[in-house]
Amino acid sequence: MQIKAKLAEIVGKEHVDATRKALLPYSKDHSLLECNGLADVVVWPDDADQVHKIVQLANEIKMPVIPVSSEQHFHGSTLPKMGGIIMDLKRMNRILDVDVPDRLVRIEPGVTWGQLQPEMNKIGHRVVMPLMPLASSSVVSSLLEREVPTNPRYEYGEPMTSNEVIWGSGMRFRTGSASVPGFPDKADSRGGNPEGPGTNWYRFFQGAEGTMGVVTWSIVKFEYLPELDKTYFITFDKIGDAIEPLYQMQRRMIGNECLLINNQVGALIFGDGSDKTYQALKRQLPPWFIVLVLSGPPRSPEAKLAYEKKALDEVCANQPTVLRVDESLPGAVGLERKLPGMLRNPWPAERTYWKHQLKGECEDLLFIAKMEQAAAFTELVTETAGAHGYDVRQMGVYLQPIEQGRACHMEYQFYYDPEDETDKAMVKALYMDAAAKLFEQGAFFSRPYSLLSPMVFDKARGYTNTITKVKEVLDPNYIMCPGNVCF
Amino acid sequence: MPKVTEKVSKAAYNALQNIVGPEWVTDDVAITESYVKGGEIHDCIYQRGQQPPGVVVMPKDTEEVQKIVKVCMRYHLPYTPIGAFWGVHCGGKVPFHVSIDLSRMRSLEWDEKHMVAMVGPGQIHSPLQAEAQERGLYTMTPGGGSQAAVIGNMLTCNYSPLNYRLGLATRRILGVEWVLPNGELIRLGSLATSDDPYWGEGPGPDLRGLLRGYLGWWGKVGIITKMAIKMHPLFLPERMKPVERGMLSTLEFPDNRIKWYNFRMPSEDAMRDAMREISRCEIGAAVMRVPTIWRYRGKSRSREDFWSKWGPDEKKIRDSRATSSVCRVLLIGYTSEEQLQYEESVLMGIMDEVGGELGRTKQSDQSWIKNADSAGMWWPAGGYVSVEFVVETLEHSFARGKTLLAEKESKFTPPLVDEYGEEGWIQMTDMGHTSYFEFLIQWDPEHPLGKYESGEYKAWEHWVASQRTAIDHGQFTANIGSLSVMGLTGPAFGPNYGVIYDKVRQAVDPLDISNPPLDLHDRVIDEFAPKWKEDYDFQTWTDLMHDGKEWWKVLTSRGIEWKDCLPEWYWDRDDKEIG
Repeated sequence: MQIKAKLAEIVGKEHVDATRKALLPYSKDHSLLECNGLADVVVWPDDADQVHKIVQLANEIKMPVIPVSSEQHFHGSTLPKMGGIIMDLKRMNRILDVDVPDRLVRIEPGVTWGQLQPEMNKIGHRVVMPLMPLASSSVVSSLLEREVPTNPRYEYGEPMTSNEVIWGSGMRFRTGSASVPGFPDKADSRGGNPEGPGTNWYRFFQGAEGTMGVVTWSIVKFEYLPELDKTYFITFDKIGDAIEPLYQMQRRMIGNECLLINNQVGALIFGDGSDKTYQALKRQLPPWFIVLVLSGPPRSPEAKLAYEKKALDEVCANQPTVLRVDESLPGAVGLERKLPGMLRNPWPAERTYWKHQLKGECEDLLFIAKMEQAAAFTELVTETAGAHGYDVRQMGVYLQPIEQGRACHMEYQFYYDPEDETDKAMVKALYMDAAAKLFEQGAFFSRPYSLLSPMVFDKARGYTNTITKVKEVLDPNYIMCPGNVCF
Repeated sequence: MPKVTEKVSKAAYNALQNIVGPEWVTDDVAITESYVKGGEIHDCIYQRGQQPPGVVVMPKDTEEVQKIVKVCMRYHLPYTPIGAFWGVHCGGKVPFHVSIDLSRMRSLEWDEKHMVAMVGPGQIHSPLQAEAQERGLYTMTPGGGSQAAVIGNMLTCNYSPLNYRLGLATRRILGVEWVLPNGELIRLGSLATSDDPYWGEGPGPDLRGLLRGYLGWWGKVGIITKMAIKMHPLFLPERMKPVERGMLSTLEFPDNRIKWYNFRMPSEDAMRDAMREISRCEIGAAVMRVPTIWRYRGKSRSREDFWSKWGPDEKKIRDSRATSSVCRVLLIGYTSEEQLQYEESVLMGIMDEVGGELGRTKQSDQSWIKNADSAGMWWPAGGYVSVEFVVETLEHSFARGKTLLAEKESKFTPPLVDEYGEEGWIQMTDMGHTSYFEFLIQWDPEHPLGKYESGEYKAWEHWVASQRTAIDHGQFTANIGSLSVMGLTGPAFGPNYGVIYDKVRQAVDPLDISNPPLDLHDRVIDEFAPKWKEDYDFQTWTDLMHDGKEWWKVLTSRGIEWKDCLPEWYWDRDDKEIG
């Protein structure tokens, strides 16, 4: 029997397709990675039982499985590098349980940011999220990929707790405290603890780009929606000038959302999508600025804002590099009122994604660093980009403090025209060159996607060998996403 | 020249001696006997099956650890890594094993700006916390006490009320240096590609998942020789001062920045509502329900002092059971003095609504920041163990408490100490998304009841029974993993996590020489309490996984049977002590 027919027996014939037309969209994404072939078939399962059967079938016939849960992809992780079955999880988009007392929500992988946040808002809460993702992006994927939230306040714990996973071996498994017998309907456990049973399995499928198994639901924490917000913009001439104030603000736990961006990123996020607004914002916005949102909880919000504002004033008064602390930004009237909402919701679905507004595509060079390295790294990347002929005035820079400033997520954005092969080749060359130099200087690529994975895993030889031993237990036939990570 | 045991060959002994030098290796029985058990608990179930080592070796650095492990591989010598040897579970279980005592490796390096402390496996919590405070930082010290090894504790438990804001230990482990059971050195997190340990995740899939689960492996996956720990900011203009109070020492708080509050609550519902609302509003540094017996213990200066109050007060405590627990809250002004004032105002508002009544509170700490009072755990009776210490949601904590209390009172009290209906300790974790629950039991190990009626035996049975009740009620339990009865919990959770758990261990340690065996408790029950297999409905792990065939490669390769691991003299000695 053909693979398509076997899959149709599992999901129904209307939910499986092997036509070129159906497969073509899955062979492209927003990354610079080239995919030379197509998958063999695409299948749209509706529940975990079907996912389980598909993985078991794939083991029988030794065919790769590539799980896909977002509509658009940025890092090459879902490209069918060795053919196989595209398992598109978009039908699995149910919000299964909302546990308000414990602030936990159980969701399937097809649930998107655009779907989840409005539901959370209705009950006065929100899931802490990364910087303006696509509305069609999967929440579960975002968390599995360890995308960094704009609000470091909650980084005392994991944003994700228990999960259900179908390992590449075909074993269906619940992690954390959801591993109890009878979960969820006949158990006292609510799945709040990510750890165990035995060892911390969830860490193996985080950052794994689908190479260990398929997550069929996850339990995610949510927090209160602030009663009151006040946004401040702290401006600087140079990125280096912002670093010590950031250390101080984070160390004293001031504010909720907190990020440092340059005017390029600001002009894309704050604009209306028109070139005119973009140009105006580029001219008027300060070169670098910290966005800091002070938020008040359900009780006495004003009092909380007051003590945090006083502390912010103390920090800024002692930092000579701070140019200004403003409640608004030049050229962006009313932004201060809208910004907390913008940072707690995905990019509007009806608008061109902010990273794609300028030239159609954007490549993100992202890694973990210490904030004190940011100035030197930015100088290095700027020089490298310039040497490759990139207009460095159009280089986006985003620094996200993590864990009270202990570390930061650094992101350099290079915009290019996907139809212009010269432009694309130049960005790819500078991306590889800059990554290699940053790596040499100590940048930590905790998520070394596609093009960068050989550089990182070759150096981390012992780590690579050991994670491969784990892989061989969880996915002994190497059917999950071959070609990703170091597998 | 020291005497070489019959089971550790002269060649192996010489190899170890060549690595560390003659002063750092011994097989002197006077010393090896002291490595049978840790300092945590005595006369306890966890000691069953533990054996004195044949050799104790004390490496000074990672390189020596690697060499020792390779010697152990070459001669098929099971080994047991030991930090401060506080946790009783990390004792060796195989006769004539090699005890690798890591207490010489007590390095402590700081990256103050990035709130990172890098420690060696011999380092303990006390200097870590003291030095952290000098840098405007803090961490938690575990319930076991500040004398516990940092790495050992981070790999196994590391639970405290401060987890409310610091999160679980697994999140605080950063860069790691790790000698695998084959002697290979690997590095995790940012250490994998640089010499800076500030970041823990990755690259790619996170191998920290292999270090531990809810609990750790107790040395079954190799030896961590360095670990970077995430520290947290606690900037106080004025230091917490250590002072002596009678037999105890404590830290005095600058109470404009750090302050305790004790509330007597009108009902269990009020307790529940208060704990949830405090968490939802994101105030506090610790929130807990303190059982009555803990307050009596905290106020006592000795066992006799405890019983002089606890015994006569039985009726009073039973009559006020619903209201006798205290909601204890720690507030810290991390940002400023004004933060403490703000949080105090919110806290009082919540307590007004639920009817919490503020009582007297000493503004000092001896338990959670300094943690020098862990010896008090033994005061009520002399024998103690926690049959449960699990993180799940708050409602789960209440449910688990009721389940375990009912079981304890119906089947095991006496000889376990009657706590007059107490349902256990509860504290909020992860800012209230979850809750930690602990159920301690106590007994008098000197009471002459006979082997099968003794407190130790009933405590042991209660521990096994608690795993059965977790399965029956869909309750999470700490007793999953290498500290569980694998034949009972292995198939039940996940489900059947035991299969891949065992495979992962075998992948990392194919010779099974790093602190074997995985299924110690199954084996001990098989030997000493086989009827429990019927009473609590389980097969041993060996039966389930290996068709009843012996599979323990190290022992079989050395010609040793399992029964040889249970020397009569060892058990005879204990039986006499128990009575």
